[in-house]
Amino acid sequence: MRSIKILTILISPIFIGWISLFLGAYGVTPLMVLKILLNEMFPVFNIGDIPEKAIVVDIRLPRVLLAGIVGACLSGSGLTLQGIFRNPLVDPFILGISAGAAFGCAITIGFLSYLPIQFMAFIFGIMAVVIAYTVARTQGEVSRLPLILSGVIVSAFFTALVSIVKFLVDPHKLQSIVYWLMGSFSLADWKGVKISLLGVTFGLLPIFLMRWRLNVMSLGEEEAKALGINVSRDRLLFIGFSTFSVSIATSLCGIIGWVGLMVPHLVRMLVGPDHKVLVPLSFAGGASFMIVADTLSRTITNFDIPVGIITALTGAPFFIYLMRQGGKEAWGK
Amino acid sequence: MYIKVKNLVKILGLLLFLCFSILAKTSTFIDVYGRKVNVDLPVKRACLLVTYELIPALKIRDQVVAIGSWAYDDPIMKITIPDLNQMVSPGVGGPGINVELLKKLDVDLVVTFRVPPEELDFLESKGIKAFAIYPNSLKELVEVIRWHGVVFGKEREAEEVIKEMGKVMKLIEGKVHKIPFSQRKKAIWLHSDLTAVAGGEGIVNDTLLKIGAINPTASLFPQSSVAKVSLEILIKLNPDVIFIWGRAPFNPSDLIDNPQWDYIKAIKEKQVYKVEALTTFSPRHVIDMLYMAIKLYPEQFKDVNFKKIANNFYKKVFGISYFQVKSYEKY
Repeated sequence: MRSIKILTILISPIFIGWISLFLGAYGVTPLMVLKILLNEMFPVFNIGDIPEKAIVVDIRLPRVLLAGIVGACLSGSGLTLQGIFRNPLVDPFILGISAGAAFGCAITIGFLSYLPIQFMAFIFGIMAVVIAYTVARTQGEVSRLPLILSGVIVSAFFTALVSIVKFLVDPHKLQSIVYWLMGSFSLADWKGVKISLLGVTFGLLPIFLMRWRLNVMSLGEEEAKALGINVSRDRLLFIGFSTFSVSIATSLCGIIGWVGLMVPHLVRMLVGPDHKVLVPLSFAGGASFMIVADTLSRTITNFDIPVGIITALTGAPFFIYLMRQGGKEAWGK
Repeated sequence: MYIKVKNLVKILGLLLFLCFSILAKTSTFIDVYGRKVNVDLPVKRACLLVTYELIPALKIRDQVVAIGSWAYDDPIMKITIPDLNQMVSPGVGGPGINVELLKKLDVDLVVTFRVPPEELDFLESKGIKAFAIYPNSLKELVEVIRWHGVVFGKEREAEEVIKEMGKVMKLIEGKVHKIPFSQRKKAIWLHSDLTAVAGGEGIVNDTLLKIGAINPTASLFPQSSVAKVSLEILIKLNPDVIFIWGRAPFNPSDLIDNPQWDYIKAIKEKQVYKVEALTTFSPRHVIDMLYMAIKLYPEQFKDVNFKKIANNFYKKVFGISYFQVKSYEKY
């Protein structure tokens, strides 16, 4: 039964992504979608230069792939941070990544429009984590609680800076900032997909390879040290990998909350707390969840609803559920 | 003799007071929120948070003591108001107006837009009259300008400005009305985001209608001034021309060079134009309209010299040359 669950979660992004390619405002028939995709791989059909090709190959496919990769990054990072902090309520943005990236975005749209938003979001996302880590570091050690507290402080600081920018910019630019802060894949393209692979290579892959250490760190700092783990070093590495993948994701699609909190818990409830299995399943679960959320955001109305709204609508009730469960049950204790 | 002079001064003072009482009157106006605002006319110490380009147009520099902070970046303001940097700003135009500064300046009327009505009522409770405007169409823009003429006692100047605007609008209408509906082009307006379009509400949609365009996103979003759509919808709508708001953080080349947009007719035919970055609360909005109309139907406007008309308009309305201000050629 457990292996069926594992297999289902693992292949779910492929299945859901495939279905998602058939859905959209333009109205491309499933047969045409298949023809176009086959023709991209084996150019045997002569389908000509038709708009449907651009819809499927240049718009839907990169959007689905990007949503999947971003979902995997957010979910994988959430799981990692929950593991190293032994706190089920931690998500990728607790260290200030979100607020830092939001400020990078806001200042670019508001005043530095000649700079790329993604680059600035990435820089400030990383900067926020570095500040949080430096503030928490005392006598060469970085403990769990000070790090979370300094993350909250840094988040509050960057959130205040975002508010200043929002207050000062003119209303049209404000609208742009608000769109970005709500998170969206509306401008997904192949360039974005390529950039997102950096997050996979230098963020998710190392987490996957080091996933067994998360099991040890989840036991607690003293226990991990007793088992020969260099806790400070490993924690720094995991924070670095998580931050990198989340910063890349955030810089590509804005702020999308709740995924890093919700998906790891769902997966943990289904297959248990072993990180060797949890890590790949969180990647897959996050990818599936994000593809579903994005497909809903672009198909339920004529508007392209920011996907962050969809994830928040599902995430907030889940968070309440988690709180009522006291976090303990979901944590597998 | 001394007493007589004293009496004469008293009589003259009384006469002056009576003259001012007759000339100065209180009128009641209803703002965009439906609030009744009593204003003593003419206004002598106003704060214009968004309609500041009317300062040179209506020649009311002496009656305005404060402006919105965006005015400092406005090319027309920079050219026409030599002491621009000496003018203070109590806010940007939206929420968060500095009440203390307004009190210090002894402002008798604040003209703003979309500041929450509660904040406007708060200003009123502190003795500062506040009037909110938000023109949703060109007709409403004209009324806003006319209203400024009334409150500043510059009705004649306002009518002159409106007359100049009318000339440009009439020129556009004269050319556009000949175009049968079947030959009208589809045009969309992109706001501050690549896929944020103008819906069926607001002055932008009205502008598109006035230049003879069909705004295909208006029917999709009849109640919205701005709507975020998917690129698939834009490809499906396949507009003939795309206009970009001047302050958008992207240029026509960003669309033309992006392969995702290749199947849109406007992109294929390179019919993508960025419109001057100006306020929609200004008379020069009609020059934008003319620019857009010419780009939409060049064959109808081939005998129209845009620069000449724009220059003439700027000289008559603002007293400056069009060429002193940013020109469209930069895009």
